[in-house]
Amino acid sequence: MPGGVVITHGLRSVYAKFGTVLRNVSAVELGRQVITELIERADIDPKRVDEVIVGCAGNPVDAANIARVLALKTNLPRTVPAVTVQRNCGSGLEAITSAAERIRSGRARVVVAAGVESMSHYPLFFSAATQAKFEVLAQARTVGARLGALSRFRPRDFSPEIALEAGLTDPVCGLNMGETAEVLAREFQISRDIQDEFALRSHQLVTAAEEAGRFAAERIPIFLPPGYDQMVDADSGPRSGQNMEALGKLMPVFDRRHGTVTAGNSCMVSDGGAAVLVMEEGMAQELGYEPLGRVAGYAWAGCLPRRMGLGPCYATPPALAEAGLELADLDLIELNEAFAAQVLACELCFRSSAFAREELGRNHAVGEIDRDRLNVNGGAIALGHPVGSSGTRLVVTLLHELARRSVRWGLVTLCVGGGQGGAMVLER
Amino acid sequence: MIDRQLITGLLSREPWDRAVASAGLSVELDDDGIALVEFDQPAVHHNRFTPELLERLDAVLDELKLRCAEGIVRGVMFTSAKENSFIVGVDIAAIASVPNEAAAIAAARRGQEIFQKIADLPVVTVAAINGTCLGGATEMALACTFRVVADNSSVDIGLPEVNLGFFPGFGGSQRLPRMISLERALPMILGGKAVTAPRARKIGLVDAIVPSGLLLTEARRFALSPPRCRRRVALEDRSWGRFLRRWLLEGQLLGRTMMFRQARKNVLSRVGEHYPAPLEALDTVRRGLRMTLAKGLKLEAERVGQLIVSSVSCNLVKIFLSRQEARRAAHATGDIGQGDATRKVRKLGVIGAGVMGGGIAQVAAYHQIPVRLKDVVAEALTTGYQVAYQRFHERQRAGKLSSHEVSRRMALISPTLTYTGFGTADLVIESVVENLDVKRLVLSDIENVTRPDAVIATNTSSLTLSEMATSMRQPGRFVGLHFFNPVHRMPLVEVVCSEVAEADAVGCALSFVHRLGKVPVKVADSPGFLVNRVLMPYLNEALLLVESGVPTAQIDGALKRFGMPMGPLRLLDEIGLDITHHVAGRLTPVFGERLLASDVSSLMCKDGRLGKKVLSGFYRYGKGKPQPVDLGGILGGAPMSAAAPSDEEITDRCVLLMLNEACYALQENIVESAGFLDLAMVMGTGFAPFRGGILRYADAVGVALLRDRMKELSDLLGGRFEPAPLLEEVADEGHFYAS
Repeated sequence: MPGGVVITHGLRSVYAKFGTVLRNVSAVELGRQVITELIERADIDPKRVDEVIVGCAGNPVDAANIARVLALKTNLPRTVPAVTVQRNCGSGLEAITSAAERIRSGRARVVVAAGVESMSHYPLFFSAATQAKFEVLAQARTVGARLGALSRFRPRDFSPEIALEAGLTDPVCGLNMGETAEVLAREFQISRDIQDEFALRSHQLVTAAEEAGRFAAERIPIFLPPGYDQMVDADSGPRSGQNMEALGKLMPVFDRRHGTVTAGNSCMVSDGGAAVLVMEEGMAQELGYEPLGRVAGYAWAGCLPRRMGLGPCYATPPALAEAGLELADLDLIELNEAFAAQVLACELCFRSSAFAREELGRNHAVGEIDRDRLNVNGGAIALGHPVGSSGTRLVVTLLHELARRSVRWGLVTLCVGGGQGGAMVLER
Repeated sequence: MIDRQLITGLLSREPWDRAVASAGLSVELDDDGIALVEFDQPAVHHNRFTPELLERLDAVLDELKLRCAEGIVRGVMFTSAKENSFIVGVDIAAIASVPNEAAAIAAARRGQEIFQKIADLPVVTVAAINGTCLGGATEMALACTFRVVADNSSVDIGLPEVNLGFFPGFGGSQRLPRMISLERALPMILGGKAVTAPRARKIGLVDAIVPSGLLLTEARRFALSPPRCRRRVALEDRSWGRFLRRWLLEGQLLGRTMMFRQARKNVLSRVGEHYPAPLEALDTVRRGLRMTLAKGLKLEAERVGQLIVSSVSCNLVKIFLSRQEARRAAHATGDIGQGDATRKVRKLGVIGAGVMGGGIAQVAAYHQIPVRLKDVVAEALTTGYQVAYQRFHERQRAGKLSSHEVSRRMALISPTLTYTGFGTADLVIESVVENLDVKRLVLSDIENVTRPDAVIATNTSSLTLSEMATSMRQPGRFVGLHFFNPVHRMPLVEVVCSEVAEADAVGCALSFVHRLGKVPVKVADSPGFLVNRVLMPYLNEALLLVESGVPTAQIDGALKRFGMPMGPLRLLDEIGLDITHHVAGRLTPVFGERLLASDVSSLMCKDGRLGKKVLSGFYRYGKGKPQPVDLGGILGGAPMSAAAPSDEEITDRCVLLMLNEACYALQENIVESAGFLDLAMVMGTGFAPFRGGILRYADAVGVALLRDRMKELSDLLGGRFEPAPLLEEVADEGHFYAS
């Protein structure tokens, strides 16, 4: 009977706003550097690794199964299988829950779980109509046929579609992620000022953590290919001088006239990677590792796509139940900051007994979130949200902070585009 | 006897019996009448033409000729059973044992005669080249009707003979220019550089490149239905412009004369006066082209025969053989254990990402060994990466690596600021600053983070292992791996064995160096080890000459004419004067009376003239050739010696002190043998290779004569020229080497 699931090592790369310092670093390269360093830090014999599971929301077209590419590029034995998992914003956490399931079922004892994303490398593509014209051209055999095929092209055919934009739009409800945040802001009457205040808090906490050197243990620099003779060793998102005035000047992005969601109170589109080493408890003991934490429970849950920001409120209760805890028992909470409005709406729902009754079918509210325990080192609004990577990063950040504070229980939870929520309870 | 076996072998269409196979050669005949001659010498990785193998080939060819006449054999293919290796040429040991010129000429004639038999066979002959094809093998392939090569990356085709002081003597210098044109043949014959398969196809040296799995199938196709067009046109020449150019340059006397003149100029500027082989080869090619092939071959054999017994060639061959011996010995020690017990380095740790650390990491990554590279500051890590990437980039631009292969190798280096990742390393090399306290600290750190069976090595050049190891718990697993700068170019690595070093650790270090393609020489743990120690009096004497007012250009000029790759002052600039000053300081106690330390290096350091790295030393570096600097200001108007010394005196003073120190090193058993000492000096300092090393030079000139010269200098200039006891002893007996 396999034992519990523990995480022995975890780290993340520097996070950078898309199109900036890491724009020439592919997701494969980000993942390679992160996983290589993870294996080196663990100083584990690569032969012991049973599987590599990588979360990535926008798979690079040249590395369709990025996990396998990474396993080979990090010099793991070619016999180690690898799978890429995709659950949009939850992909990085999905990698860890998949790893936990492998271990719980006795199919693996050591799994490398990672989340990587290079949003700078999301491609531009042609519309389906244009693609059809290219196909006709490719099949044309005679000069006449070719000229005919060419004559069908119109200037607008060459204006590309942007994968990033398409990826951040829900194909079911038709709303852009930012628009779903506007939905919540209106429904729960969350004002622009409160959102901006929360955004400011994120920047201040990240800056404070940076100044105190709290990221040193979890963060690695990225060396820039091909020569690796330059290095990025600081997160590019956080603004130490951020203030309400500057935030107030920003125009709403998704609803210019009535909206409240701005670039300042949303997470940044970013590049980054994170990885953890997940092990069966007995194996960790055998190898003499002091685990960073144990997976005490986790859950995935679905909700209305247009209210996807409330995902954490649906996933957290079952995860807590598995761990046998109440919200109040938690020492630290990492709730992914996709949008300030969305985090604030979650707070309201956690506290609301009406929400508990109607949506969760329970008699009493989930509980009050203590701001002193929530995202204590800031979050995605300041650091950025490389979609597939964030789930892993939240676990890494939480585990290091649990250790620093010498406290026991922590929760990672996030909302997932398409209307889902994920949550994981960790015990140090 | 053999003939009968041949006949039965062929007639029964079975592989020949073991007696023939063990001679390194087998013949098989297929249903279509195509005979496959396969070279496979037992118990070696590469086939070499020994005299016996050539004779066997001769017998086979005679037999094949008969069978051809009977109509049984309709085509012949030659290939090798070795993985990625066809034949690497004539056995060099056989060349070394040629007694005199007549024998050398006869041997060359014999080889030519045998290959001529291939050319004279009345059927199509195909060389199916499956890998490295050098020297005599290329000449054999040239005698075939067609050459087909496999497309794997280890196919190199070349005529490297000039590197050993002679040139192709089995018909290569005559057949190659006739086949692929003068312009393309000359670089191969005179430069000794091999070409890759695609290049060989382009210049018309080979007829097809085929997938390696289909090599024999395709070769057989050539033999069965040879392409009709007998006149080969190189791919490059398939345009009117190129064709015209070729006609003007090679079809006309004026063009040819111009080309020979240019080639001569190139050779002289590249190899200088000490190496006669390229010029001789050039002359032979030139004259050979005006004769029939048969007469050309005769001329070739005579010229090559003369060169093979010349002292230059003998010395180069001896250095080559002792290099091979050193590498073979290292390879053998690495094989001690079996299976998991072998001490193969699967992962390397390097501490210190400077020029040396980065260089070592690069060479290891080049040979596909993962490296964990640690330094204390992140900036240093980028420096280490920079060093590595520059080298890789050079290889990429030279077409030796694809960008994909470069990025794969770069990715093998993982950077760190902490001691994580060293627990899985099999060998850790420290290459931190040359400071005893720092090194001790680092070594105890390494001991704490590595497995107890991992080998720990230092790249120190000036400290001894015994003083560094004082605080180590297991000094038995501690060895020295002294790489030379620049790491990727210098072939020598001194493997330093302390008295307590375990054989296992030394074996691991030796086989590691072997894997990097370098030449390991075992030396004892003593200040300066071997090369630096022997080099130091030589460099110091050059400084003393500077002190006495001899111009920089004269000193360097004299020693370059002696055969050094660069003068001692230029070398000092390359190494860095601060470093030499530091090393000299460390060595002074060892030398005692023997070293009259010059003040020049400290004066230069004070003035900030540290050498090439700051663009100013004895020379000023910038665009173009380095220019000697007027040192009057620094030396404070040192008195000009009454009579300027002659070039001969300069050379004697510097070289004899080197010889003397070499004798001390030999008598203190710093190195195993005179052969390894000479090898180390040639590989580590570039000491005139055509002289075969410092001790061979002494043997050639006469040890007694040199001893007397030293005594003379000793009376004139002081006690540092007093001959070493071993030198006195050898002077009475005659020679350092038995032969």
